[in-house]
Amino acid sequence: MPQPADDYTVDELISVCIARQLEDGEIVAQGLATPLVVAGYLLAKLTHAPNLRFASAIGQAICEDWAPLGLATIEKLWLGKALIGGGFVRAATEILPRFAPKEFFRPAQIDAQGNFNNIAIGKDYRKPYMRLPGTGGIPDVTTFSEHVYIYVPRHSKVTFVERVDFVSGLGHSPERRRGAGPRYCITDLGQFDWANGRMRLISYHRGVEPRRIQRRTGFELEIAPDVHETPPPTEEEVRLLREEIDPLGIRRLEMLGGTARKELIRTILEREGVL
Amino acid sequence: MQEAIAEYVRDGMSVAIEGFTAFICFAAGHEIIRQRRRDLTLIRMTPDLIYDQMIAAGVARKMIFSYLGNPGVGSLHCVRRAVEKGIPAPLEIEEYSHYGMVGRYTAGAMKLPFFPLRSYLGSDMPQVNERIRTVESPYGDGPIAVVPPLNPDVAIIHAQRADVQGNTQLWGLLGIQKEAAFAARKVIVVVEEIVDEAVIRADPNRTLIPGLIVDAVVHEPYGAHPSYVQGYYDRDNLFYLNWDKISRDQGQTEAWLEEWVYGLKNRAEYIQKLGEETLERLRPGAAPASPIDYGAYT
Repeated sequence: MPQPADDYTVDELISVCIARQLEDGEIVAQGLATPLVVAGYLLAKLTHAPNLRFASAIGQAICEDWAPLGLATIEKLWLGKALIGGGFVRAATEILPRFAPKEFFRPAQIDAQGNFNNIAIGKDYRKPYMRLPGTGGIPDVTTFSEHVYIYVPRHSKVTFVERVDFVSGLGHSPERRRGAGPRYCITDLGQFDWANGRMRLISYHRGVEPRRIQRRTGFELEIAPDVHETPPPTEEEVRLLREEIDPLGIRRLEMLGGTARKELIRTILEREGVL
Repeated sequence: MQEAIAEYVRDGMSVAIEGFTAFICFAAGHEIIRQRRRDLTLIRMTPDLIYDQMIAAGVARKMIFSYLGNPGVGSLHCVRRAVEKGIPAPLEIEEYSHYGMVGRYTAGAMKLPFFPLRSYLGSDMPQVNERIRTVESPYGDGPIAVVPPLNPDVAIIHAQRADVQGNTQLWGLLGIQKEAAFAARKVIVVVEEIVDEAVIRADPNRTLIPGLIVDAVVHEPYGAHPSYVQGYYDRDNLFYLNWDKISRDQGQTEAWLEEWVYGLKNRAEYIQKLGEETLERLRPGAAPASPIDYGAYT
């Protein structure tokens, strides 16, 4: 029996939960600057899914081999390990339609139906309160994929809202013609699904009261009848994350904002010998 | 570079300086700032620091894109300041998804009236951008989203090497440079090395852009710093991190532009100012591909 870990952090738990959503032999895709997701993918590859393949619009490549997370060498996986590196057109017209890879998205806002927004915050598109990075591949994938997964490192009412300002990622919406809305969501508080087309709590993390999750969500959550505590990582999973996959702790960048995040970036770059 | 920008980039034009995290021609962007172009429409799938700098310098009226960011670091503060607060000038934006931009360039290069995509349906993208439209598939598959062709007035492409005719070879992250070049009315190629035509002919599969569509070839070593050129120099991560701080404030940004763009005559002065130590820090290790045999047909 694998030994459950006692000593683990929430970023490690998120990566472990992401890994557990993957199956051996699958093809997964990833965006830029998503180290929690990459750490989860690599953890799956080193445990139950050795035949996991990586397809990326970012690296515009397909890889089978892996490399530990880096910040200075963020493209190491794609530039150093690619089997094919074909450019944006081949990524969009060949790789993504052919493989329809599973992908984890990080929304700036998401509603109960799983519609999400990475366009802008505010009602006036021409003069938004906050301009977001933009949609990237989100309206390309979410309109026809069956494999949209969500992660939110910092669960709050800022992200989980009654109504998103702009829909870039299509959820469980009557407007949908193909594919399906998000299947799963992991946050720093719990795990969720959309079993009935509305976001539903399926497990809460160690030390987190379900009531607190509801208080930090801007709409009424459904609760699964068998809601339970999230199974902890195993000792081996934590060891792999800390020692093999991400010894620099790059995954923790996604848990932080503002100055703390910039300081951690600086520390990591120093450890990588770049500064 | 001075000549190429003066000749081909005029006020009011649409300009695509393409490249995805690598091969981003900062040298051309800086020259455009130095020549004080105005009212440009900047086009790129993934705008990053060079467009942030150009927008802070006031060269742009509009930007067409699919994803913005300081890669791995965070927001583009100058773009946000222009969009949210109109500083230093309001910036009109026209946004697509990645596939939407791929479709636009491809339709532009292929001279098609539009490009159909499985994207957008049900999302708010057609509401925020009226150029994203829907047609009924003539083959009975229901509605499908379409985007219009994109034909920039000028495309500026940075690559490893070209010959003097502009036959350009690029390897690594290919991005959308080839399609942008074929879609554009004028093409400026900027390279790390000018090589003999025989070098190009020895490996024609690596030629991304034929000299036939190239209007100007610029030899500008380190022209993509602080981004990288695979096999020539690595990304200057320290610069990306520092830019986050500088760019938060319009005054600091302008001071930086004064020091590193307006205050210098050309790229050679920039590289000199950057210093040997920085260039040494960015020197990459070697990873040559195995040579292949094309066979002799002479």
